[in-house]
Order: sequence, then C-alpha cells, then structure tokens
Amino acid sequence: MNHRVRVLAVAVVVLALGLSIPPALAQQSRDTVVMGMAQEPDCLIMSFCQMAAGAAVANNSVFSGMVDYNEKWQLFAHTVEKIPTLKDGDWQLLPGGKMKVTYKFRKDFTWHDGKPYTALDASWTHLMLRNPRTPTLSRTIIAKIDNMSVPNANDPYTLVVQWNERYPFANTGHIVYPRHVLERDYQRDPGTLKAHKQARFPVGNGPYKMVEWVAGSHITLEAYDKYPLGVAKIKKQVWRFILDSTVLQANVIANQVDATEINNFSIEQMIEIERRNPQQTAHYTPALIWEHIDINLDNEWLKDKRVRQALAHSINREELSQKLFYGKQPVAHTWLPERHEGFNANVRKYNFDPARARQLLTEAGFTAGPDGILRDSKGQRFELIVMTTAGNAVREQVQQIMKEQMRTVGIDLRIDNRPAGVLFGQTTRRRQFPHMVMYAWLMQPLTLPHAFWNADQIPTAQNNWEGSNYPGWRNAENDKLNNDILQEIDTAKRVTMLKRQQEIWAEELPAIPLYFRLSLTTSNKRLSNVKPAGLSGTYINWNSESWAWQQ
Amino acid sequence: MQRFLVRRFFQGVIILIGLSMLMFTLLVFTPGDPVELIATSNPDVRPEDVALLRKYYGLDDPFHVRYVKWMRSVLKGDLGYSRTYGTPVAKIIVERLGNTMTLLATAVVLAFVVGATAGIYSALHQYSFADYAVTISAFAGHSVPVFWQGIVFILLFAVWKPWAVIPGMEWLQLPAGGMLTPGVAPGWPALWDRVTHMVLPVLVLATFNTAAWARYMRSSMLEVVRQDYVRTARAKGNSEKVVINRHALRNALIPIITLIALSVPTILNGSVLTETVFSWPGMGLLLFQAVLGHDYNVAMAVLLFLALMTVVFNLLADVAYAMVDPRIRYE
Repeated sequence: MNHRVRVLAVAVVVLALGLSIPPALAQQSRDTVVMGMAQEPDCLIMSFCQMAAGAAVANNSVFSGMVDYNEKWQLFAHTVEKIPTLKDGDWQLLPGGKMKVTYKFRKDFTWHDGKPYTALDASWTHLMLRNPRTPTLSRTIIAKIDNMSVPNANDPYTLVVQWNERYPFANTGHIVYPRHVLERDYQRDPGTLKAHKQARFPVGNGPYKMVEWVAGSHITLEAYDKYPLGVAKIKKQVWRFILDSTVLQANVIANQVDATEINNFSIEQMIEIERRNPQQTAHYTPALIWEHIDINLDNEWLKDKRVRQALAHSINREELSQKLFYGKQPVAHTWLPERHEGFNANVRKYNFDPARARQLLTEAGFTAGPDGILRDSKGQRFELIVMTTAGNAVREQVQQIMKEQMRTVGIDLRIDNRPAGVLFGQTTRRRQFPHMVMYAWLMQPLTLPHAFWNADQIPTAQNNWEGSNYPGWRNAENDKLNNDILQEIDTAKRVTMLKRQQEIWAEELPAIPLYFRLSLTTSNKRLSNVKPAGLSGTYINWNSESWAWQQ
Repeated sequence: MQRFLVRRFFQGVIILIGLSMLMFTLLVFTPGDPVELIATSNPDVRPEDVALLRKYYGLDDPFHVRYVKWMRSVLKGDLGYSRTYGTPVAKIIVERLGNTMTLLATAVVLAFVVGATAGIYSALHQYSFADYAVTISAFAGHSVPVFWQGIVFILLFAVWKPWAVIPGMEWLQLPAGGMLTPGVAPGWPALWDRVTHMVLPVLVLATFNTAAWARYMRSSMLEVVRQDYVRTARAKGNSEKVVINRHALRNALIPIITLIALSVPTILNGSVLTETVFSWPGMGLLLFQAVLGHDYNVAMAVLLFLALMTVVFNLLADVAYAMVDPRIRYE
C-alpha cells in the first residue's frame, strides 16, 4: 500500500472515530438531561424580561416560588408552609376594601450561595420592583399592595402583605429575589438592574443552580445540593437554544435532545417525532391558549349581533380541528377552556350551519348578489378582511379553509396578514384591523375577564391605547359582572359570575372562538416523572428535580 | 498608492455614515415597537409602565435625536447596551465574533482549496468526464438554497444516516447543530467536539463559493494556458507540472485572489442563514435575533460591522490586485 493511501486510510479511521465520540458521550451521560428550546432567554430576572424561554429556565429550575402550580393546575405551597386562606384566618378582609395576607416562610430554604432565604428578601423585592426607576415590566399587582413587611424583627420568616383593594388571587405568592445580591447596585442606580449579573447568572433558590450561559448556545444548570425538598436526581440540566423548529425536531428525532419546551412545534411535527423516534413521547397537554378571531365592533356591518353570529355559523370549526389538528385541539364555544375554574359548558353554541348563517344575514338586511356574494342594503359587496400573523403556516391554512366555507354562505373573505411584530405591536393594540384579526391569548388560571372584555379596556388614543378589549365590546351587564368578579374573593360566587359573563359573551359574540390550543412538549420515554402542566409560567420542568433516568 | 488609499479611506467613512443612517432609519421605522409588543402580550402592563420602559430604553426621543445620541456614543467607542441581554453590545459582539470568524475562515480555506483544485483540474482536462462533473456540480452548488441545504444535511447526517443499514456503522453521525456538546472534557476532546460541530455549517457555508471559484478558476486557467509564455515554457522542455505550477498557476490565481477578498463579506452576510439553521452562536444568529427582538443597539452594531467588512475587503481586493499584478497602478 503506498504512502498516500496509508495516510488516507488513517485519516478516515480517525475521522470516523472522532465523529462518533461527541454524540456518544452525550447519550451515555445519564447524569444530564438536555432540554431543547426554540428561543434563547433575554434574561433570567423575569420581572424585567418578557420571553417565555427565560421563565422556563428561571421560574421552574433556578427559582422556586412561594406558591406554584402543579400539573393539575392546583396551587401548592412551595417555599412557604401553607397557602393562606380566609378559613384559616391568615387571609383577612379588612374594612374599606382592604385585605391582609400573612405567609409563613419555610426555614430550610437557602439561596444558592448558602445565605438564608427569608421574608426579608420578599419585602425588599417588592420595594425594589415598585420603584419607578426600576425597569419592572408590570406594576399592576404591585399597585394593589400598600405594604409588604416583616413586622417582627425576631421572626424573619413571617411576611405580611397589606392589600389596598380586593383581589381574588392574593394568596398566590410573590416574586422573591436575593436582597444581598442586588441591594448594593439597586441603591446605586435601580435603572442598571437589568444589566446586573443576576440577570444572566442568577443566584436562585431552586433545585438547580447556574453553571454557565454560553450566549447563543446553551445554559447549563447543576443540582443544588442543599435543596430542602430533595436534591435533584439528575445532576445536570442543559438548555440548548435551537431557534428553528424544524432543526429542533431533527434534534429530537436524533435523540440529541431529551426533552423540549417552547418548541414552536406543530401537531404534524409532533406526530412525525413519534413516528420517527419511538423513544420519544409527544405530550399533547390541554392549555390555556385560546385561538380566536376578534371582530371589530365599530364596523357598521359587524356591530349587528346577527352578522357576528352568522359568521360563527359559517365556519366549520369541527372540520378545522379534524383537518388541521387531527381532532386533538378541542373546538371552543366560549373564551375560557374546560380546565379553567369558571368554564361554562352551557353557553350558546354556534355549530356549522350555513343555512342558519344565511337566514341571519337576510334578517340583517343582506341579499344575494349576481356573483354569489351577498350585498348589504346599500348594495355594497359583503367583503371582509381577516388578518393574522404572516408566516404562521397553520393560521394561514385556517384562513384558506374559512375563505372556502364563508364563500358558500355568500361572504367574500380577503386575507391580509402582517408579521407578528406588526400585528401585536400596532394592528391589534391600536385596533387597526378593519374587520377581523385572528390570534391567540395565552391565559392563566388567574385570568379574569376585566382586561379583555370591559368597556374601559378598549384601547383608544385618549387612554393611551391601554387595554386589551380589541373588539371594542360595550355591554353594561358584562361590565358590571367583570368589575364584581375582579373583587370577589369567594370562589363559588366568582365562578357563578364568570359563568353568567360567558353566557352574555356567547350571545353577543364580540369574538369568534375557534379552538383551544394544546401545549406541545416532548420528552424521552426513559425520563420518568415528566408531567407537563400546559400552563404559561409552569413549564415541563416544573418538577424536574424528581425526574430520573430509568434503566 | 498613498493618495489612493487616503481617498478610499475617506470614501469608506462617508459610505459607512450613509449606511448607518439608512440602517438606523430602517430599523427604527420597522413596524412593531418593542415596548408595545411587551404591553400587547401582557395585559397587566399599564400605560404608566409602558411610558417608564420607553424612557428607560431611550425610545421616547425623536428619531433624529436617537440617531445623534447613538452616533456620538459609537464615536466614543461605546456601542451601547443590548436591550435584550442587558449587557454591553461590545461584549456580546466580541463573544460572537470569534465563532463566526472560525466558521468563515474554515469555509474560505475549504472553498479555495476545493474550488481551485477542481477548477484547475477541470481546465486541464477540458471536455473530459471530470470537467463535466465539476461543471454540473458547480451549477448545482450555486443554485442550492442555503437554508434547504442546511436542513437536508442535518437530516442526512444526524437523523436519516443511510449508512446505518451497514452493520457496525450506526454510530457514525454528526451533531445536529450547536457549537459544542455541553460537558465535554476540556483539551483535545473539546477541540475535536468543536471540529465535529463545525463540519456541517462549514460545508454549507463553503458550497456556494466552492462552486463559484471552481468556475472562475477554470476560466482563468483556460485563458492562461493558451498564452504565449506558457507555450514557450513547454517549448523550453519543462515538465507539465513545472509549466502549470510555476508559470500558469500564479497568473491564473490573480483574479481569484481578488475574488476571494470580494467574497468574504458575502460569506459573512450568508452566515446569518447558516448560523440560524445550525444554531451556531455567531454574529449572523445574533443579527437575526436582534432584528426580531427590536434590539436596535445590537442590530446596528452588527450591521455596521458587516458594512465595515464589506468596505475593508473591497479595498483589500483592490490593493491585493495592484500588488500581484504590476500592470495595475492606482493614483
């Protein structure tokens, strides 16, 4: 064999060996779980940051909250001894609409640097976040609180929260950051806190602590050995950022990623993952993601309730769900999903009924035109524009199906899409959609109707575009109910009012409910105890300290 | 030459200032305000919070004031803070620049070696099977979209692995993206891990230019080997190897050298797609994330850097051309 061939042969062998080593290393390392995400967090102090990716890493792995949700959407006490209740007296209603809520912190939690985690951190965090110079994203809840204090200097584990108004979710805990880490820079200049090291390398109190953040690549966490609820069984958690969902899917199929969250997968991709790699489980978890079409009630056609109801009757949502989502995403008839405490199954439903749609439109003054498209009383063609996020293949398919279905009723549906940044930055916020806009609300178990459906939440130039009532719905009974719900502490009474609100909503139909989206996540079958919650804020890793690799 | 360089320097400065104005205008007037986006996605964000955030991020100044403030701080060497990451922009760029340069340098070297070799061989064996093979491959390489190629490579080498049907070959696979395998031991294992992660993105990044340079090298070589001095070199009894390497090749490489200099900014700009597909944390991916996230400081810094590279490498191409070809002189 001549020299060149020998050299080539050695090179091929070395290359082949080398190519196999890194993936093999990753797979054999069962003290690590690799999580794939289609986003990179902007930072890990969630009061200053907006991206869900940050919440997934920070809220559930690096930090443990005072009170958190489990996979059944039930609250559980995490770093406090119990959840305050009216019955137990640690939640008190005071005169003048005020309230007092008392928490007892557990004494065995520490920050990752070993310092004790106490109520003093919580009260300082509140002061820090409410300072107008701190770059806090939202002060809505903070503004409802008069004072958060540790009244007894000898007992740093008791926190008293004084509320200045009734708020039904006052016992769901508060954000806590380490005072000893942030205070010095806060005193110097609160405006620099987003640039603080804590934002990129937080000292937390959760089951995992930060090891490294390689920008653009991954975050590595390792088990905190003093976590009081049990040291995590899997020593390391690595969060890889793979921005393209197709590439992330390939990684899952190739077993180079063990679990995914915030993955932007479609249902087809999930089915493909299961088909191509039987070692992976695709989790389809009912979530609080409401896909719907807001209707602009200022439009002269659409202000008529009959026209809105006709639109709902002209869309075959069951067919949509079957065709596009293999029946996995349930059709919505109201704006709250089944798992929400206030869900009302008995609202008016708008099944696909083109005949009924035509009848309603006839009653509203429309007549058939020569081209099959209806005309209004002034002879104008019944053309409607629907907008949604450009580039979202699923929504664009929904639009195409809707276009065909509405044509049979005599509606000419035009499609006019915008990039997400434009749609959410201007189009919805400033109510610049002429007829309809399709998108999703990501809600919480704490979500109440006031922000979405109250007349004072219609964004206008006068109120500086505050509010999320983009349809512009005005209904006196609905408004009164929403205001009462906002302040109703009693769960049973609140649920009754929520159900009545949904009845009115379904009758008036300021938006067309389409379906409730699922939270789509994946995990390796050999990873035990994975229980996706399907909640924004409670990600697949909410209990990752109890995950383990099975043999 | 000196006057030429000074003149080009000032031209470059004017071009960069003009480009910075254009890029700033486009970024600022891109629909979708970052603070409004926060407010829309979170109904709990009140108008007072929005106003405070706009003030905090300097978004409440008029556009021209923002540009002047930005330009002033850039001239002082301060590229500002990243709104997304809360870190100085310079720090982020330094972190990412090395990653991009690693890919870029490797891709350029690979494209040159393979492209030039293929082009030379093709020229010297014109109309042979190899020549046609190189030509067809070059057209294919020129036509294949980067994004598609990247995804296909990932599927081929990380997911499908068709060679896995051969018994004993299942273990041969490449990483499906990323820059390194977390937890790999430092030293040689980490270096080798990095190399394996580079294989696919470098192949994708190099494909287009390999194809282009192969074609250019072929044309250049064909032109040179027909020259009188090459015929003379042969007539003097030199071996074909000496004729090609010592006489023909040097002259054939002249246009290629300038082509390489002109192609570097193109490859750099192309890294946006490649880095996004392969999740390679370089400047390209940074730009993509910054534009999507309306992180103006980061986007401006990266765009300015790319513009600077284009201007610099254009100048280098002109200077290199003058250096290798004594017939070229600049005034």
